[in-house]
Amino acid sequence: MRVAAGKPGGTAESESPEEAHSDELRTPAGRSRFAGRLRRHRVPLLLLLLLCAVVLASVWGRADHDTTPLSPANPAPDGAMATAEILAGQGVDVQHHEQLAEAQAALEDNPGATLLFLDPAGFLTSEQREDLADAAGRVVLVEPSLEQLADFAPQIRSAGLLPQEPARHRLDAGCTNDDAEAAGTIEAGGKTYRGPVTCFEEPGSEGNDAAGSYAATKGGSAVVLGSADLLSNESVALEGNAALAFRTLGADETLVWYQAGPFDVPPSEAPTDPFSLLPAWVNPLLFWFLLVAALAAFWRGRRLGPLVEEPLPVVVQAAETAEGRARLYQDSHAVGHAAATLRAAAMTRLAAHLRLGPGAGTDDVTRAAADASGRSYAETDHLLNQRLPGTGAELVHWARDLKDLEEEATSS
Amino acid sequence: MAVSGRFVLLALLGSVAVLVYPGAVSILLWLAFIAAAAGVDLLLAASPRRLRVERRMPDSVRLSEAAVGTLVVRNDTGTRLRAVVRDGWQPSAGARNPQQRMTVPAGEARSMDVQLEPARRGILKSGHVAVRSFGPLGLAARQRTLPVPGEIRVLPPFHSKRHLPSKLRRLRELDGNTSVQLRGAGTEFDSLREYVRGDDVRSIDWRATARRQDTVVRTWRPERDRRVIIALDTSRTSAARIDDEPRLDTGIEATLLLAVLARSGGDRVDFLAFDRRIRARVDSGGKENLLSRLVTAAAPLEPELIEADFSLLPGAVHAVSARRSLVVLISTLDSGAVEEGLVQVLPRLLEKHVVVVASVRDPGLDGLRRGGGTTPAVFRAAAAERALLDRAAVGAQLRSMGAEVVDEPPHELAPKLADMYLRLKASGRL
Repeated sequence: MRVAAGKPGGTAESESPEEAHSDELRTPAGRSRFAGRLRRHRVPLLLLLLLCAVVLASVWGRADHDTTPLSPANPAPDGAMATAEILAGQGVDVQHHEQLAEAQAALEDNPGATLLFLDPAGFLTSEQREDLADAAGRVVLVEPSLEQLADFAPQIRSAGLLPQEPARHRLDAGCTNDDAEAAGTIEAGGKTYRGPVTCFEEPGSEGNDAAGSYAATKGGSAVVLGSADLLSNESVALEGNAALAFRTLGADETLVWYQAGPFDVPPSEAPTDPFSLLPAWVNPLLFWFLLVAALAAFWRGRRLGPLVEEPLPVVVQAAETAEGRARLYQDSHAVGHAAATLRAAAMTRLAAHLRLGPGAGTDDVTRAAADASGRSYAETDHLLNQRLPGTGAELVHWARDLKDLEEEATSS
Repeated sequence: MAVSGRFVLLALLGSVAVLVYPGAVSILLWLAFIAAAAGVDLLLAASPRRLRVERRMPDSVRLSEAAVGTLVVRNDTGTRLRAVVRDGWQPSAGARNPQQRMTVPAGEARSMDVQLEPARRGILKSGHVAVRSFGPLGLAARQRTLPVPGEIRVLPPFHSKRHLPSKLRRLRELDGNTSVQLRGAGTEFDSLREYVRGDDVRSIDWRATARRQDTVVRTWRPERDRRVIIALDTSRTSAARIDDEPRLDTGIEATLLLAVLARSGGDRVDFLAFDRRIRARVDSGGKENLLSRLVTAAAPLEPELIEADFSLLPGAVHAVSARRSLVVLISTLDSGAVEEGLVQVLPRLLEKHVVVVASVRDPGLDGLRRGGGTTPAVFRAAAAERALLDRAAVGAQLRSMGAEVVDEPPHELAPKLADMYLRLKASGRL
């Protein structure tokens, strides 16, 4: 099939643009052009680099940064880095674990260690918690749920929440536990519990069945702290919070600080396949529709007879060569050449219109044009013969003046 | 093999069966059912292989006119043919209804008319006819492409015909057929007749007057039986599109007008189209109408992307006529193409013949020339001026060598070339 191609005066065998382009990249000129492009877009490129650096840095920092509440590595207000550091400073071996197996191994390595069990999201199952309770000598729970209480300290029961307003309440020890007495007064919110030993009772609930922020078994093998405020960086320094926290957690040489995470969720039985919930006819029907769609594609897609080719004639725009030449003039800034051409053409037309004949010289034409246009000879001479333009802007003005002169000279 | 929408609908109906009895069995059963139905339909369909298809169509049509291409389908099979037939015309043939449904009883023939509105001059072809023969159920079809070549010659439109009446009137004025008798209108001695008042006294033939008793004047008529040889350039420069018409088509229009005019003026017209070789030729000796032979010869001409070889021109012209002739060369004045070729051979042509070089001027250049106001526009104006100056220089060079030059925009070329012919004829230079 012949298509529109070619160009009058152009060569038939010119390189394809791809070849020319790859040639250009190989040559030193191509490299310098690349460098020039780099220089031209310097500011946007720098901004882009800066943005990349900021994004990378923030991602990096976040990855390194522990944001889990009550984590011993978290320096944020809801973290517990301060408590852990001070305990470590007091000679307690704080072992931070986030996986159940590690925590259990650490408990077996250090018999009699205290386990701080934190699982606010309830990742562990009851069996896992029981295993952990068996391995631990002494366990400290913070705001445990009912199930956690049942597995770790069945004697202690949950008793509800402290009033939300204010966020923290001043609570007095009000019991005979050493740790509680040492702390004296604490400032905390959160939940309350009842146990064999109950301290920091909620105001107004004193008596036989009082509920408090601190509950423990008789021997102290399980301690329940009703509020994360006692450990968190933000509030550990309030009143006697620190004393209660350190005494509760630092009772033994080793503290296993275990935070349950999603990795500890036991692999359950295979999840139910959502497709098994669909009615029985869905799959066969989908298959049948697929088949019908293929048939429909064949119905519409089958062509009646082969494609017919159209031999297209050659088409060339006639003014293409003039356009090409104009672009050559412009690319090479051939102002003088363009001006000379315009001048020659104007002179030729003027001479023809003013009937000067083929032998007329420049001066004759200038004089005749001045007469015909009513301008002075000096002005016309200046325009036609003296004032030849040197820059693009001058050329535009000069060409306009030349056209004006020609119109004036030929209209009369 | 092809299927119909009805077949797809039947398959879609199967989804009800699948819905009611889900499972592989219902799918397989319904598949078997529709396959069997399609198979029966295919068996009962008339075989397209055994059809005989003929074309009946005009040889040629003028561009801008419509034609009808007829297909006659003869069914020699023993079964009734229910088919969709498609005539494979190329797109520029402008077939309005190439695909039609037709039913042909066994042993009979039916025809199908395809309306053609050609979009372009030249020889337009249809290579095949595709037949899709459906069975009685209309579910499946046997399909076959039959090679039935056909072509139609789309002739140049001869738009310049509208200039013909005025040019013919001018010619008759030259001929002395009109009531206005002008001395000098013509250069060939025609006859003697009696002097009437108002005749130019310079045309009195004194010797004849002396023989008779009356005053006798000579009458002249324009010269007749001269040769006009029109040479049309089909090289790469003829591909240029000016005012949405290739230079070649404008040249053909000018050729047709000049040929018809010269024929009416009693001259013998020869035509040849050339680039590196002779592409088409029409000689004056033929019996048929000159115009029809010319359009037939010019119809398949297409611009070739090669340089013209002007050196073959003197030989070709000599082969047509050794006598003095008017050689009209329809080409271009683009400096490169002409300076290398035409200028070299022109003296040899001019030794014996009168040469007119006709060229289409691009009005787009004049538009570009008048542009200004921005730097690119001024550069474009300069480039256009340069092209126009070059053309003017080439034209001046050809004139100085003794040739006549007609350089006009597309719609002016044909009448201006005719005027040039009339002027040469009136001055007796043929």
